[in-house]
Amino acid sequence: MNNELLFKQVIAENKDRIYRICCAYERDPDERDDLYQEIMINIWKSLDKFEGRSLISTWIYRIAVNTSLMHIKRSAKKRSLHAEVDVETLNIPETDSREEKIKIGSDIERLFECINKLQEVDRLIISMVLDDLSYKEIAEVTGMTTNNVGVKINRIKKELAKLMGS
Amino acid sequence: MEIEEIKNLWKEQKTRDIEIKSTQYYTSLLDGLKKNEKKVKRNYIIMSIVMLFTIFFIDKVAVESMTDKTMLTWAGFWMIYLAIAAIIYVSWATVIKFDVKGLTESSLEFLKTAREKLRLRNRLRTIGIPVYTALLTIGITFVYIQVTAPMELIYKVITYTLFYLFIASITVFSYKREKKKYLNEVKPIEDKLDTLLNEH
Repeated sequence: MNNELLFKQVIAENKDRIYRICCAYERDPDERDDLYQEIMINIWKSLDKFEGRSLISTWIYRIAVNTSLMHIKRSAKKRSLHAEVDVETLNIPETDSREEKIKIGSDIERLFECINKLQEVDRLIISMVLDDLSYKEIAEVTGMTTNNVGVKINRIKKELAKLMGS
Repeated sequence: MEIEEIKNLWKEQKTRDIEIKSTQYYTSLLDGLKKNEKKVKRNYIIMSIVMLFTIFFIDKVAVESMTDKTMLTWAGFWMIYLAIAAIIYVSWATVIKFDVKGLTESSLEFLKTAREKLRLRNRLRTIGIPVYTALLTIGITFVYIQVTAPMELIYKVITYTLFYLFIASITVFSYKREKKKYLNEVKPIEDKLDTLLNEH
Protein backbone atom coordinates (compact mmCIF):
# COMPACT_ATOMS: atom_id res chain seq x y z
CA MET A 1 0.00 0.00 0.00
CA ASN A 2 1.41 3.40 -0.84
CA ASN A 3 1.84 6.06 1.79
CA GLU A 4 -1.01 8.22 0.60
CA LEU A 5 -3.51 5.35 0.88
CA LEU A 6 -2.10 4.17 4.18
CA PHE A 7 -2.27 7.73 5.53
CA LYS A 8 -5.89 8.13 4.48
CA GLN A 9 -6.82 4.79 6.02
CA VAL A 10 -4.98 5.48 9.25
CA ILE A 11 -6.61 8.89 9.59
CA ALA A 12 -10.06 7.58 8.76
CA GLU A 13 -9.74 4.99 11.51
CA ASN A 14 -8.14 7.20 14.14
CA LYS A 15 -9.25 10.79 13.54
CA ASP A 16 -11.69 10.86 16.45
CA ARG A 17 -9.10 9.51 18.85
CA ILE A 18 -6.59 12.06 17.66
CA TYR A 19 -9.07 14.87 18.00
CA ARG A 20 -9.94 13.80 21.54
CA ILE A 21 -6.27 13.93 22.46
CA CYS A 22 -6.16 17.47 21.07
CA CYS A 23 -9.18 18.31 23.21
CA ALA A 24 -7.48 16.87 26.26
CA TYR A 25 -4.35 18.90 25.71
CA GLU A 26 -5.57 22.13 24.18
CA ARG A 27 -8.59 24.19 25.26
CA ASP A 28 -8.38 26.95 22.71
CA PRO A 29 -10.38 25.87 19.60
CA ASP A 30 -8.06 27.55 17.09
CA GLU A 31 -4.95 26.21 18.77
CA ARG A 32 -6.64 22.81 18.92
CA ASP A 33 -7.18 22.79 15.17
CA ASP A 34 -3.55 23.75 14.66
CA LEU A 35 -2.48 20.95 16.98
CA TYR A 36 -4.69 18.49 15.10
CA GLN A 37 -3.15 19.57 11.84
CA GLU A 38 0.35 19.31 13.27
CA ILE A 39 -0.36 15.75 14.43
CA MET A 40 -1.57 14.87 10.94
CA ILE A 41 1.60 16.30 9.48
CA ASN A 42 3.81 14.41 11.93
CA ILE A 43 1.96 11.17 11.23
CA TRP A 44 2.51 11.64 7.52
CA LYS A 45 6.12 12.60 8.08
CA SER A 46 6.78 9.48 10.12
CA LEU A 47 4.72 7.01 8.14
CA ASP A 48 7.81 5.48 6.56
CA LYS A 49 9.16 4.66 9.99
CA PHE A 50 6.24 2.54 11.09
CA GLU A 51 7.74 -0.92 11.29
CA GLY A 52 4.70 -2.88 12.35
CA ARG A 53 6.19 -3.85 15.72
CA SER A 54 3.24 -2.29 17.49
CA LEU A 55 -0.37 -1.69 16.56
CA ILE A 56 -0.68 1.25 14.24
CA SER A 57 -3.20 2.82 16.63
CA THR A 58 -0.66 2.67 19.46
CA TRP A 59 1.96 4.16 17.21
CA ILE A 60 -0.41 6.96 16.17
CA TYR A 61 -1.15 7.60 19.82
CA ARG A 62 2.52 8.01 20.55
CA ILE A 63 2.93 10.55 17.75
CA ALA A 64 -0.20 12.42 18.79
CA VAL A 65 0.89 12.58 22.40
CA ASN A 66 4.49 13.54 21.61
CA THR A 67 3.24 16.30 19.33
CA SER A 68 0.78 17.49 21.97
CA LEU A 69 3.47 17.56 24.65
CA MET A 70 5.75 19.55 22.35
CA HIS A 71 2.85 21.85 21.60
CA ILE A 72 2.29 22.47 25.32
CA LYS A 73 5.96 23.10 25.94
CA ARG A 74 6.13 25.54 23.05
CA SER A 75 3.23 27.57 24.34
CA ALA A 76 4.78 29.27 27.30
CA LYS A 77 1.69 31.31 27.99
CA LYS A 78 -0.66 30.07 30.63
CA ARG A 79 -3.85 28.97 29.03
CA SER A 80 -7.24 29.37 30.57
CA LEU A 81 -8.71 26.09 31.67
CA HIS A 82 -12.18 27.48 31.33
CA ALA A 83 -13.52 27.73 27.83
CA GLU A 84 -16.91 28.98 26.83
CA VAL A 85 -19.24 26.20 25.77
CA ASP A 86 -19.91 26.54 22.09
CA VAL A 87 -22.28 23.82 21.00
CA GLU A 88 -21.47 24.46 17.37
CA THR A 89 -17.90 23.34 17.89
CA LEU A 90 -18.97 20.12 19.54
CA ASN A 91 -19.78 17.54 17.01
CA ILE A 92 -22.10 15.59 19.20
CA PRO A 93 -24.85 13.45 17.73
CA GLU A 94 -28.14 15.11 16.88
CA THR A 95 -30.43 15.11 19.86
CA ASP A 96 -34.11 15.93 20.13
CA SER A 97 -33.76 19.21 21.90
CA ARG A 98 -31.36 22.06 21.83
CA GLU A 99 -31.30 22.04 25.64
CA GLU A 100 -30.12 18.47 25.67
CA LYS A 101 -27.48 19.26 23.10
CA ILE A 102 -26.26 22.13 25.25
CA LYS A 103 -26.26 19.87 28.31
CA ILE A 104 -24.14 17.20 26.58
CA GLY A 105 -21.90 19.88 25.13
CA SER A 106 -21.46 21.39 28.54
CA ASP A 107 -20.67 17.98 30.09
CA ILE A 108 -18.08 17.29 27.41
CA GLU A 109 -16.49 20.67 27.98
CA ARG A 110 -16.44 19.97 31.69
CA LEU A 111 -14.82 16.58 31.10
CA PHE A 112 -12.06 18.12 28.98
CA GLU A 113 -11.56 20.87 31.54
CA CYS A 114 -11.10 18.26 34.24
CA ILE A 115 -8.76 16.16 32.10
CA ASN A 116 -6.82 19.32 31.35
CA LYS A 117 -6.24 19.79 35.08
CA LEU A 118 -4.47 16.44 35.36
CA GLN A 119 -0.71 15.98 35.09
CA GLU A 120 0.64 15.63 31.53
CA VAL A 121 1.28 11.88 31.83
CA ASP A 122 -2.01 11.32 33.61
CA ARG A 123 -3.82 13.10 30.80
CA LEU A 124 -2.19 10.78 28.33
CA ILE A 125 -3.06 7.67 30.32
CA ILE A 126 -6.68 8.62 30.95
CA SER A 127 -7.24 9.51 27.30
CA MET A 128 -6.09 6.01 26.38
CA VAL A 129 -8.23 4.43 29.10
CA LEU A 130 -11.28 6.32 27.85
CA ASP A 131 -10.50 5.17 24.33
CA ASP A 132 -10.48 1.54 25.54
CA LEU A 133 -6.81 0.81 24.96
CA SER A 134 -5.60 -2.24 26.87
CA TYR A 135 -3.13 -1.98 29.75
CA LYS A 136 -0.53 -3.58 27.50
CA GLU A 137 -1.04 -0.95 24.78
CA ILE A 138 -0.94 1.87 27.32
CA ALA A 139 2.27 0.43 28.75
CA GLU A 140 3.71 0.32 25.24
CA VAL A 141 2.93 3.97 24.57
CA THR A 142 4.08 5.27 27.95
CA GLY A 143 7.04 2.94 28.42
CA MET A 144 5.77 1.89 31.88
CA THR A 145 5.25 -1.63 33.13
CA THR A 146 1.74 -3.05 32.89
CA ASN A 147 1.48 -3.25 36.70
CA ASN A 148 2.54 0.34 37.07
CA VAL A 149 -0.02 1.36 34.48
CA GLY A 150 -2.74 -0.46 36.43
CA VAL A 151 -1.85 1.33 39.64
CA LYS A 152 -1.73 4.70 37.93
CA ILE A 153 -5.03 4.16 36.16
CA ASN A 154 -6.83 3.47 39.44
CA ARG A 155 -5.44 6.64 40.96
CA ILE A 156 -6.23 8.78 37.89
CA LYS A 157 -9.78 7.42 37.64
CA LYS A 158 -10.42 8.42 41.26
CA GLU A 159 -8.89 11.84 40.70
CA LEU A 160 -10.94 12.44 37.56
CA ALA A 161 -14.16 11.25 39.19
CA LYS A 162 -13.45 13.61 42.07
CA LEU A 163 -12.79 16.53 39.71
CA MET A 164 -15.94 15.76 37.76
CA GLY A 165 -17.96 15.58 40.98
CA SER A 166 -16.64 18.80 42.46
CA MET B 1 -19.76 10.29 37.90
CA GLU B 2 -18.84 6.67 37.09
CA ILE B 3 -15.98 5.89 34.75
CA GLU B 4 -18.33 4.27 32.22
CA GLU B 5 -20.36 7.48 32.07
CA ILE B 6 -17.18 9.48 31.61
CA LYS B 7 -16.11 7.07 28.89
CA ASN B 8 -19.39 7.53 27.04
CA LEU B 9 -19.11 11.27 27.34
CA TRP B 10 -15.53 11.15 26.06
CA LYS B 11 -16.57 9.16 23.03
CA GLU B 12 -19.35 11.62 22.21
CA GLN B 13 -16.67 13.98 21.04
CA LYS B 14 -16.15 13.36 17.36
CA THR B 15 -13.81 15.11 15.02
CA ARG B 16 -15.16 18.36 13.78
CA ASP B 17 -14.87 18.87 10.07
CA ILE B 18 -11.60 20.66 10.45
CA GLU B 19 -10.41 21.96 7.20
CA ILE B 20 -6.91 20.60 7.03
CA LYS B 21 -5.88 23.04 4.38
CA SER B 22 -2.32 21.93 4.25
CA THR B 23 -2.49 18.17 4.59
CA GLN B 24 -2.97 17.48 0.92
CA TYR B 25 -0.37 20.08 0.22
CA TYR B 26 1.92 18.64 2.84
CA THR B 27 1.59 15.06 1.66
CA SER B 28 2.60 15.98 -1.86
CA LEU B 29 5.37 18.18 -0.53
CA LEU B 30 6.75 15.49 1.75
CA ASP B 31 6.48 12.89 -0.95
CA GLY B 32 8.41 15.12 -3.34
CA LEU B 33 10.94 16.04 -0.68
CA LYS B 34 11.57 12.44 0.31
CA LYS B 35 11.98 11.32 -3.29
CA ASN B 36 14.26 14.25 -4.02
CA GLU B 37 16.37 13.63 -0.93
CA LYS B 38 16.73 9.97 -1.83
CA LYS B 39 18.12 10.98 -5.23
CA VAL B 40 20.31 13.67 -3.72
CA LYS B 41 21.75 11.26 -1.15
CA ARG B 42 22.47 8.67 -3.83
CA ASN B 43 24.24 11.31 -5.93
CA TYR B 44 26.22 12.54 -2.92
CA ILE B 45 27.33 9.02 -2.08
CA ILE B 46 28.56 8.49 -5.64
CA MET B 47 30.18 11.94 -5.67
CA SER B 48 31.91 11.34 -2.32
CA ILE B 49 33.26 7.97 -3.41
CA VAL B 50 34.55 9.40 -6.71
CA MET B 51 36.10 12.38 -4.96
CA LEU B 52 37.71 10.34 -2.21
CA PHE B 53 39.09 8.02 -4.86
CA THR B 54 40.41 11.11 -6.69
CA ILE B 55 42.18 12.29 -3.54
CA PHE B 56 43.61 8.79 -3.07
CA PHE B 57 44.74 8.73 -6.71
CA ILE B 58 46.33 12.19 -6.53
CA ASP B 59 48.06 11.29 -3.28
CA LYS B 60 49.32 7.86 -4.33
CA VAL B 61 50.05 8.40 -8.00
CA ALA B 62 50.47 12.07 -8.85
CA VAL B 63 52.17 13.27 -5.65
CA GLU B 64 54.46 10.26 -5.28
CA SER B 65 55.45 10.11 -8.94
CA MET B 66 56.41 13.79 -9.10
CA THR B 67 59.91 14.56 -7.99
CA ASP B 68 61.22 17.94 -6.90
CA LYS B 69 57.86 19.41 -6.11
CA THR B 70 57.90 23.17 -5.79
CA MET B 71 55.95 25.22 -3.25
CA LEU B 72 53.53 26.10 -6.05
CA THR B 73 52.95 22.41 -6.84
CA TRP B 74 52.25 21.66 -3.18
CA ALA B 75 49.92 24.65 -3.05
CA GLY B 76 48.16 23.23 -6.10
CA PHE B 77 47.71 19.81 -4.50
CA TRP B 78 46.44 21.30 -1.24
CA MET B 79 44.04 23.52 -3.11
CA ILE B 80 42.61 20.45 -4.86
CA TYR B 81 42.33 18.58 -1.54
CA LEU B 82 40.71 21.57 0.13
CA ALA B 83 38.24 22.10 -2.70
CA ILE B 84 37.21 18.42 -2.68
CA ALA B 85 36.93 18.20 1.12
CA ALA B 86 34.92 21.44 1.29
CA ILE B 87 32.50 20.43 -1.45
CA ILE B 88 31.90 17.01 0.18
CA TYR B 89 31.30 18.63 3.57
CA VAL B 90 29.01 21.38 2.34
CA SER B 91 27.05 19.00 0.11
CA TRP B 92 26.28 16.63 2.99
CA ALA B 93 25.37 19.59 5.21
CA THR B 94 22.44 20.30 2.89
CA VAL B 95 20.84 16.86 3.31
CA ILE B 96 17.42 16.96 4.98
CA LYS B 97 17.09 14.36 7.72
CA PHE B 98 13.89 12.43 8.20
CA ASP B 99 15.03 10.83 11.44
CA VAL B 100 13.28 9.82 14.65
CA LYS B 101 13.73 13.36 15.97
CA GLY B 102 11.05 14.28 13.47
CA LEU B 103 8.54 12.50 15.68
CA THR B 104 8.86 15.09 18.42
CA GLU B 105 10.23 18.02 16.50
CA SER B 106 7.46 20.42 15.61
CA SER B 107 6.42 20.44 12.00
CA LEU B 108 7.13 24.15 11.83
CA GLU B 109 10.71 23.56 12.89
CA PHE B 110 11.00 20.77 10.36
CA LEU B 111 9.65 22.99 7.59
CA LYS B 112 12.05 25.77 8.52
CA THR B 113 15.02 23.39 8.60
CA ALA B 114 14.04 21.88 5.26
CA ARG B 115 13.68 25.34 3.71
CA GLU B 116 17.05 26.42 5.09
CA LYS B 117 18.73 23.29 3.75
CA LEU B 118 17.27 23.86 0.30
CA ARG B 119 18.40 27.48 0.41
CA LEU B 120 21.89 26.31 1.33
CA ARG B 121 21.83 23.79 -1.51
CA ASN B 122 20.81 26.50 -3.91
CA ARG B 123 23.72 28.64 -2.71
CA LEU B 124 25.96 25.62 -3.16
CA ARG B 125 24.79 25.42 -6.78
CA THR B 126 25.14 29.11 -7.54
CA ILE B 127 28.19 30.03 -5.43
CA GLY B 128 29.77 26.86 -4.01
CA ILE B 129 30.23 24.96 -7.25
CA PRO B 130 31.78 27.92 -9.17
CA VAL B 131 34.17 28.54 -6.23
CA TYR B 132 34.98 24.81 -6.14
CA THR B 133 35.61 24.81 -9.90
CA ALA B 134 37.80 27.89 -9.62
CA LEU B 135 39.84 26.39 -6.75
CA LEU B 136 40.21 23.14 -8.65
CA THR B 137 41.26 24.94 -11.82
CA ILE B 138 43.81 27.07 -9.99
CA GLY B 139 45.09 24.02 -8.08
CA ILE B 140 45.50 21.94 -11.22
CA THR B 141 47.09 24.91 -13.02
CA PHE B 142 49.70 25.18 -10.24
CA VAL B 143 50.48 21.47 -10.64
CA TYR B 144 50.53 21.79 -14.44
CA ILE B 145 53.10 24.56 -14.21
CA GLN B 146 55.59 21.97 -12.95
CA VAL B 147 54.30 19.14 -15.15
CA THR B 148 54.47 21.20 -18.34
CA ALA B 149 57.72 22.96 -17.46
CA PRO B 150 59.89 20.79 -19.74
CA MET B 151 57.39 21.03 -22.65
CA GLU B 152 57.70 23.25 -25.66
CA LEU B 153 55.53 26.36 -25.70
CA ILE B 154 53.13 25.01 -28.32
CA TYR B 155 52.43 21.87 -26.25
CA LYS B 156 52.01 24.00 -23.17
CA VAL B 157 49.44 26.14 -24.99
CA ILE B 158 47.61 23.05 -26.26
CA THR B 159 47.63 21.41 -22.82
CA TYR B 160 46.28 24.48 -21.05
CA THR B 161 43.74 25.21 -23.76
CA LEU B 162 42.39 21.67 -23.70
CA PHE B 163 42.33 21.65 -19.91
CA TYR B 164 40.45 24.96 -19.64
CA LEU B 165 38.07 23.98 -22.43
CA PHE B 166 37.40 20.72 -20.63
CA ILE B 167 36.74 22.49 -17.33
CA ALA B 168 34.57 25.14 -19.03
CA SER B 169 32.47 22.61 -20.93
CA ILE B 170 31.97 20.44 -17.82
CA THR B 171 31.00 23.55 -15.83
CA VAL B 172 28.53 24.81 -18.41
CA PHE B 173 27.03 21.35 -18.92
CA SER B 174 26.61 20.61 -15.22
CA TYR B 175 25.35 24.14 -14.47
CA LYS B 176 22.65 23.83 -17.12
CA ARG B 177 21.72 20.34 -15.94
CA GLU B 178 21.58 21.41 -12.27
CA LYS B 179 19.56 24.52 -13.12
CA LYS B 180 17.05 22.47 -15.08
CA LYS B 181 16.84 19.97 -12.22
CA TYR B 182 16.39 22.82 -9.77
CA LEU B 183 13.59 24.43 -11.76
CA ASN B 184 11.76 21.16 -12.41
CA GLU B 185 12.20 19.35 -9.11
CA VAL B 186 13.40 21.61 -6.32
CA LYS B 187 11.70 24.93 -7.08
CA PRO B 188 8.15 23.48 -6.79
CA ILE B 189 9.13 21.98 -3.41
CA GLU B 190 10.56 25.32 -2.29
CA ASP B 191 7.37 27.10 -3.34
CA LYS B 192 5.24 24.63 -1.41
CA LEU B 193 7.46 25.01 1.64
CA ASP B 194 7.16 28.79 1.43
CA THR B 195 3.37 28.53 1.20
CA LEU B 196 3.22 26.28 4.26
CA LEU B 197 5.58 28.51 6.21
CA ASN B 198 3.49 31.54 5.33
CA GLU B 199 0.37 29.70 6.55
CA HIS B 200 2.04 29.16 9.93
